[in-house]
Amino acid sequence: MTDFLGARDDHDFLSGYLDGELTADERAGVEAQLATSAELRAELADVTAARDAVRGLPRREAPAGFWDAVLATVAAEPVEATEGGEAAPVVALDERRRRRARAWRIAGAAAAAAAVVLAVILVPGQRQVRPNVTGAATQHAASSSDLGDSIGPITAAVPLMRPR
Amino acid sequence: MADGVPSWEEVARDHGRFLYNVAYRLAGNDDDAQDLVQEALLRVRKGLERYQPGSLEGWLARIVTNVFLDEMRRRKRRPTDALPEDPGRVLPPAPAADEVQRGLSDEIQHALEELPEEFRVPVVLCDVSDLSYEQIADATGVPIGTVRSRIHRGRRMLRASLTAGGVTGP
Repeated sequence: MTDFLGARDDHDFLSGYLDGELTADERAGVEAQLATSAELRAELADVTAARDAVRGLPRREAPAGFWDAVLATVAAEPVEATEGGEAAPVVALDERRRRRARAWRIAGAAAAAAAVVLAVILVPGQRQVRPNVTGAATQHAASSSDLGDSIGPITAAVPLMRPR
Repeated sequence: MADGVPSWEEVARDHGRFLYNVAYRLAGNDDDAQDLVQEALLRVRKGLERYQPGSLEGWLARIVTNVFLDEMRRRKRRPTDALPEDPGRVLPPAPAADEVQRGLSDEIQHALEELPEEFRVPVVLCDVSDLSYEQIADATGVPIGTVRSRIHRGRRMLRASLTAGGVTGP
């Protein structure tokens, strides 16, 4: 039987054992030594706890609006011919972040305009009014091009509906 | 999809959440994770013609890992060149459902971030991306024995860090 665990300091076969990455012989060797060594059993318990902790982490979700922004940004990038391997980045990540932020604001403005249209359509008793959606969207698009502006003030900034 | 090769938009739609989660566990924060995902999708778009149908998530994990390591190398060359905060950003990170679970998750994430990259990357690829040792060896360009050793040592360091922080169970 292989005595690899006793001859090594790192005991890395324990993680291989835990992950099902050993051959049948290696697995039998680990199990035989686990049966006789409390130290190895304690180490296996430690790496099992660490593995379970990481595997138990919840899936991290991107914030709302991220995917629309990143898809728009990636689609807008020119595709350059490259030779073999992965394409090298041609723009620093911080510049990419600024581009994505712009796309994010545009998507936000579009969503705000869509929300105005929906509100007008869905609010009962207000079918006789004409929303100034074009004006609101135009004004908001102009104001949102300023980096410091947010999408929030659109509803307060302009009269959204006016009587015929 | 043509010849088993998806478009980059399909990759983003079907595997974007996987990509984001791996990026977040490597980087440790949402801002950097978003940058990593964006750069990874750019590389996916430019490199799809070279993709050989197989383990798509293994391929994606390799790409986002390379983006992460490239960025880490760049920051080491320019240690004061941290990614700037975006003054126009108005959306907060997605909130976790449960504060207690979030606190525990934060402790584990913090312990992950404390691991040196050569240990953090294989641990994340194994336990977050669920890649085999062979896939991790392929993604990181190191021998499979080194992968096994780094995963084991990474887990031991992680366990020691969690225990020192008072986290005794997963």
